[in-house]
Amino acid sequence: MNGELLVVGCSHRTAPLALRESLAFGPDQLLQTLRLASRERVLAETLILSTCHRTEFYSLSTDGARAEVYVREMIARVKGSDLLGPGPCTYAYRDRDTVRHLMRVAAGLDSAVVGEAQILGQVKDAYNMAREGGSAGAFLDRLLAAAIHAGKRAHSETEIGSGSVSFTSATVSLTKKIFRDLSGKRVLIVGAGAFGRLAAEHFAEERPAALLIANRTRERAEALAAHVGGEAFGLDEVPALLRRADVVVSAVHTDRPVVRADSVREALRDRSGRTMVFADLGVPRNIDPAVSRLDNVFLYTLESLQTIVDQNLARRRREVPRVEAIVEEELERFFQSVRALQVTPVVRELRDRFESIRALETEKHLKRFAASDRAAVEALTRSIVNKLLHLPTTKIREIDLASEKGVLRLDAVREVFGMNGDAMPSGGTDPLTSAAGSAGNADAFVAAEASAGVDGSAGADGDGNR
Amino acid sequence: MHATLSLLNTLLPMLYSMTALVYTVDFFREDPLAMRVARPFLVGTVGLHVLYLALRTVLYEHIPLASIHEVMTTVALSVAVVYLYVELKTKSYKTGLFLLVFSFVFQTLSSAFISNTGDFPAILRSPLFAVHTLSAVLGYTAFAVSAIYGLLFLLLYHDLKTSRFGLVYRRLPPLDVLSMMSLRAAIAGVVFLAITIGCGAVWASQRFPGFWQDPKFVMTGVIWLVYCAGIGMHYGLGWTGRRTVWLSLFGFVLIIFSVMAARFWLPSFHGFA
Repeated sequence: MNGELLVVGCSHRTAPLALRESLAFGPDQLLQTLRLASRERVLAETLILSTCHRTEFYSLSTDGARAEVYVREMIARVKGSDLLGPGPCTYAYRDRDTVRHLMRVAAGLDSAVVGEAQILGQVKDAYNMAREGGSAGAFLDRLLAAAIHAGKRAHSETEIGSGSVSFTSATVSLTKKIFRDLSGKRVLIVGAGAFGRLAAEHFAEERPAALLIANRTRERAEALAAHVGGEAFGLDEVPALLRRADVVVSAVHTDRPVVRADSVREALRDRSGRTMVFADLGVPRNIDPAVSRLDNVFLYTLESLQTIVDQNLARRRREVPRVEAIVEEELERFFQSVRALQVTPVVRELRDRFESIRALETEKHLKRFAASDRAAVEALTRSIVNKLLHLPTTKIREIDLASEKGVLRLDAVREVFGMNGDAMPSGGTDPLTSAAGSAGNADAFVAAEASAGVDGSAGADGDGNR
Repeated sequence: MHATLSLLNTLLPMLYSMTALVYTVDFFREDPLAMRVARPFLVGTVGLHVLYLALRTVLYEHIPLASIHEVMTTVALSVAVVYLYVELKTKSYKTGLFLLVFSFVFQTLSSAFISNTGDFPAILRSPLFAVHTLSAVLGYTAFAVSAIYGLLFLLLYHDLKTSRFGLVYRRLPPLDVLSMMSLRAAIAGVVFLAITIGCGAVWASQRFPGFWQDPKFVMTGVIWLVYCAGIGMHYGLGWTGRRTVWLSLFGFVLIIFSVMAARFWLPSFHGFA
């Protein structure tokens, strides 16, 4: 029975935020759903990837159409509504396209911010969840390893993930273009809101000499300071803090500038004119624009930071073709490895067949030999069979199932030796082995894995269901 | 040995041009191949240049500083060595283009006009003179390097100040690194120039009474004081950034003026060089 690999889901590309929010799975719900899928045994293997930008169900089953209906029904049961029903907000890919999609996701090609690396960790988490929920088996083991490898290659061999693409990380990278090492610098964050928090977290990673948090509500400053390991101050202390700070990031709602040019001028005098960097992330502006005219002072606004973000995004987009090439390479490698595994059962079946003939014939004629010679006869016949099978076995292992010729050769081997067992699918029709497209046969894959001694799902039954 | 010397004399400008080209490609295109071959190219070129100068020294029995063209080849090597040191120290390839182009120009001029004879004024055979000239070459090279890094600092400073995030922003090392490179090179220059002045004074006092009135001597003293003042203000008054860089550039303009003056306009016993 042939099986199929399937992904059903929605992402930031197809669905509005409201739908994505409704479809999002928390860790507990995710685990429950995976266990449910595992119990109901409609799908051989299941993985759910749920992030703020996507929710996707990956499954390996013996019947793709049935699996698709089942996944949608399961969502309806878990979420109380058919959120993943057919329509413009959802998508479903089969077989080879599913593998390609997962690899593209892992490589950051399908992310809202192209090349972001966080998704790779989220894919790993989803896989661990599936393992924990008992819904991941040998096929997903192999598939996820291949997808994660593709993602890692994309990040190490290209610039798909290079450069800062958020305002706060761009502030850090810009600051590091002025000060190579921030470990000896003091950073003042004005504002403990969302931007202030992100900026504080980003700068904390650089381990500055001091992280000073100033906020109108001191309690919030104290909470953020405790979170990032800094010191808390009130907003009125900012002018005095300027003397201590080498970097100032301001993100508060204010009608008047929090940082005035004369305060900076005074601070510079006390600092012997040492360089200062200001990042104004507030609207309206928090820092007097006149500050930028002072010597050894650099002022950046949201506008200038946007330029950096845009440039980095453009650079990442230029890397997309290279990453797509890596994905195609890894896709091909993945299917080659699956095909290679599928030759193993043929070899095993051939050997079993010869061994059973040998055993039968030996048994039939063994009584003609003296008891003392019977062991020698056993050894002799085994040796003859091994020698006869050595060349065919070697040749079968060399068969390249990626080519049509290879598939035909394997079919010929089966025909010549009369093997039409269930352990091996017909190469030409098996979606997993077909070079022309599609992917999986749950039975075949699991049998091949078991035959090759790969650790994985030992729980497949005859229908390929768990 | 003559044939090897002649071969190296021809090869070195080519090698420097190729090295500078590799660093140029790396700067503008960040080509992975250029990044991989840049340092091996530079190390190979420097190695052959050291061999070339060693052969000259052995063959002509004097350190290669007796003529302007010998000085040029020594300067070319000094710049390349200083850059190699900076590259190893800062792990940044991106400033190679700006220095190695000088090595290429100096070596090309030297190779084109250098005389392959052992002619050497007897007056210049003193070991004290050798130290004097060698430290002068190293000192002026260090000041030139300081000026180049100072200019790069100003370029990046301007782009950072005006929020222009182009090639200069993307390729050059951070601003404080450029400032530090400029400062360290200036400190090296001050040390070498102090040795130059000291040895020169001792050597000249035996041959040129009243040497301290020599315009070149006076100008060199002024240059040394300007650089000392800049370094002093950095460490004493905490001057950083543009102010120290401008002082370094002012010092380098004085050096150029001093060299031109001593050679073309003012009577000086330094005329033999």
